[in-house]
Amino acid sequence: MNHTRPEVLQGTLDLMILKALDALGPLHGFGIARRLEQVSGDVLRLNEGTVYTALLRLGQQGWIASTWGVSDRNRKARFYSITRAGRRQLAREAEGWAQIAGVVNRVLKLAPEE
Amino acid sequence: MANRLRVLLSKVIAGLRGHADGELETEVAHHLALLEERYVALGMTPDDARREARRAFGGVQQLTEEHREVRSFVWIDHLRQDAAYTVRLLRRNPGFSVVAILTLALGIGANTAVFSVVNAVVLQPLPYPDADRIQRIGWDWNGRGQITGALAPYKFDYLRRSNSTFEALATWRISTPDMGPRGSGGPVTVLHVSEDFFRVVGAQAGIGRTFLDDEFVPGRATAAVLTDACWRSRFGSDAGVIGRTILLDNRPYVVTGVMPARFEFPEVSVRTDVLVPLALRPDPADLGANYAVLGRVRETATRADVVRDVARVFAQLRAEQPTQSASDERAVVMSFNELHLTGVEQPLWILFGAVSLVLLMACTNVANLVMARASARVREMAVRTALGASRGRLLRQGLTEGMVLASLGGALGVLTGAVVLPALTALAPAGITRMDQVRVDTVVLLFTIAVVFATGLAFGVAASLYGSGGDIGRQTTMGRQGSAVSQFSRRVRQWLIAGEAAVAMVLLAGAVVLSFGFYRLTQLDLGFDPHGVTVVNFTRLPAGYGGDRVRAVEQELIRRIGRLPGVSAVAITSVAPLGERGANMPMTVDGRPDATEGAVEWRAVSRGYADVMGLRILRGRWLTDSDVDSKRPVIVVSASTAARYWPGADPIGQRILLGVFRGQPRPGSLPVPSEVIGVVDDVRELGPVRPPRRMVFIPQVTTSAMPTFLIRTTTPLGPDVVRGVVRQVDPQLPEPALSTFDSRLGTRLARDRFASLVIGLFAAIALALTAIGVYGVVSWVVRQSTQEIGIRMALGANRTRVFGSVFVRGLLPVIAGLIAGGGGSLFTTRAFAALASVPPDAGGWMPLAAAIGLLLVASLAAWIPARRAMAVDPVVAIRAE
Repeated sequence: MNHTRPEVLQGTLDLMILKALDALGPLHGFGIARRLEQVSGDVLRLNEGTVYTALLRLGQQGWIASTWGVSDRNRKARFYSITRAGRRQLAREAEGWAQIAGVVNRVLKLAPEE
Repeated sequence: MANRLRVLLSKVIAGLRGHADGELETEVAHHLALLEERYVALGMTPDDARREARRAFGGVQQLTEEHREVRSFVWIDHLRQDAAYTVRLLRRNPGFSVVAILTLALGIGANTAVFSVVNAVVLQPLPYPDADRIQRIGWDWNGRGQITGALAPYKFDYLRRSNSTFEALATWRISTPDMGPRGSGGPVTVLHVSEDFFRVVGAQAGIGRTFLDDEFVPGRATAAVLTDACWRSRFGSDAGVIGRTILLDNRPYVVTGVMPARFEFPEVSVRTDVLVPLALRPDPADLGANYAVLGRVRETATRADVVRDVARVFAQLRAEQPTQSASDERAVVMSFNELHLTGVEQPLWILFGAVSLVLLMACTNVANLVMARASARVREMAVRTALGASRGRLLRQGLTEGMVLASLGGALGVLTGAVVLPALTALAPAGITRMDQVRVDTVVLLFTIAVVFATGLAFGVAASLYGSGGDIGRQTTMGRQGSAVSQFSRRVRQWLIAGEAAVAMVLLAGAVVLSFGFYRLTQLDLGFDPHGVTVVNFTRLPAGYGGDRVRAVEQELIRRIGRLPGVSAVAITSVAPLGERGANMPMTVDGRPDATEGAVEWRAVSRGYADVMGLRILRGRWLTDSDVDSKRPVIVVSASTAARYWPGADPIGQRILLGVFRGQPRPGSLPVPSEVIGVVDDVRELGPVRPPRRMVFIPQVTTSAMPTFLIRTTTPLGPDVVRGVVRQVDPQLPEPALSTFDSRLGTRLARDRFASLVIGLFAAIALALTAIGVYGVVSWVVRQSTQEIGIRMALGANRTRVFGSVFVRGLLPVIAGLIAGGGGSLFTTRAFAALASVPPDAGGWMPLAAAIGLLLVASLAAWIPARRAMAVDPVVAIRAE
């Protein structure tokens, strides 16, 4: 296994957050961080604080919305949820991502035959 | 793209909202707490868990800063902080804030209101494509290059056929028939337009069509086009109205179209309801010069070409048919735009100039206030500089303060303007095109915003001049009065006061000239008594009302009204006095074809006319009932008529041919010469602003039109009383229009009253602002030099001397301003005088009176704080610092 962990690209983090909110419904920042940890295993590591910058950016784009509520531990927390525009964006991004991944995969497979 | 805008917007909003750091803090704390709990659950000690949580989260400070950057723009953040700081300052100093904001609101509000008028009346182009290619053609009767006469139909037609510079020429006239079956819908305004009218103005129907060529054939003119306003109010915006038949004075017309809302015809001051074809018969015998002509000039023709072409056409007509033209006929061509702004544009710009002076004064005053406060804050600013605030930041703070003040003043000012505007337009004299369209619109708001920015900038710079000047060492250690900044400030403020006094002087001198001119107009001897007379006018008579019936009704009305209590005399006349226009016709002295003129004012009146009007009979006698009954051709002439035709001779017994010009009878001429039986003093029958015209009075002749009744009363007559008498005499008569000499005189003087009122108001504001300014500076000087005064008194100075020196020092800048303003008023007074309908004379005493008034007010303003200087207790003053 490679010991250098890949850096998380800004766009990737945004996409992953959108997907998490799409799949699980409204979450607070901590919940999002846990979900990212869970799906990436130990492969991707990030400062959990960067999640908040990403959330701010997504909110400015109108892809997510947020409300203040009370967490299950009875603390004041901010819950984020995906908007309709966010779902559209997610669909677009996911498609683009699949295309690029396919191309990259093909290129990598071709390489030994050269 | 849309998303980028959205991001921008959310950043701006976030910047303006502020207080987001706290929200992030809460979120971060929550996150860290949950992380800690999780690590504790995994078996870490609380200390380790806290450390591990912070490591996993990353730098909180870094995140906060990153967040700020993403969230908004740094400059907005700063702006918000500055604004919040300013608002705190304003709140801490409510007296200053209220005075500053109200002063600005006054200045900006007045400016907004006047600019709204300028904008709607002058700046907005006429709603026609290539409006500058539309020209009016008419006769110039008084040689001033202005249109004072219209064309006869034959000449219009001749011009249309023979010109080579117009694409199209059109004419129109107005009528006010009743709409609906038997006129049940009430009167409407109908514009009769000739062929090509729509081509000339460049307008098309919004729905349906305008008129076809064969609809202009005489006798077949039965198509009608509705204006948008009429279509909305009378037909409920029903598009199915096309093809419907409407009745105008019981004649059927088929609606063919509706004009779009933007169509207007400012040539006609009333709102038009219906347009119908005008079938013009170019009969050479019809000399009635009743048709105003409008033409659209070919794109290739210049104005000079048009003038030449029109002159050529009429010269040709004169050569071909000499009887058609009077020799003093001179054609004149005026652009449509020019015509509408003649006599309106210049006064409006003068008003705008005056109101700008008021705004300038308001700004000066607030700048004065800001500086007074800024100098009190010199040390605060110095401390802030010492603590590391950059000069740029301080300047920005000053600018923000200026902008906040100006914006608050501006917002209030726009409100004031919107409130004042209806009053302004209601007061304005009638007949200004598009006065009804004056409103606070986008253009006006943009203008106001520009004004707010300019004023804000001015204060901002004024305020910052202090704070960022000087160094910390001097300003924190020095006392108030010793500071160099303070000296500088005192000088600048005195200059400002001098400037204010100069502006106030200019406005005040203008106001004195206008008010005195107005007063003189109201006191002018009109040759008759313009008070206490009721005017009864029948605009229309029922169909089938013939001469006999008119005569009977007329006599009965005179008899019955004359018996009413409080009525001292009743008369009838062909034209109501103090109206907008009279009636004239040519005259020639019998046997002297050269003793002639084209337009002498004539009135057909009854015996009572001289009593009702209070005419002064200079020679001979007035008309009697027997003159009227016997249909004797007699005539009474005015003094100037007699002086012109029989200078030094006795006019009594001379004979006049009415309706005859240079020996040639014109339509409407009297068949026999009239014998002069009396001379009355000249009468300014059209009001004080018009010079007296030459007039003649003939016995009233009964026609099918109802004359105007004049009732002189000793006690005012209720309108219901008059209407009751009319109903008794003939229930079929329509309700008459009632007015009084006083109300009609008011209308004639509206322009002059407006001018003196508005400029007077501006001058009053200027006076008040000057007083506030002087008061502010003198009391500030007293406060600043309390210690000095104390020392002087301790050394034995006389209290009166102290008072005198403070008082005189306070007044010196005012006197300097007075002298400058007095010089300036020599030029500006003439401009203000142009606001009146007759420019009043500016007597030499007027600027002097203005100066004395201003000096008195300023003295009072300086006297009050100077008294305070006298009351300074030396012991208290010296111990104070």
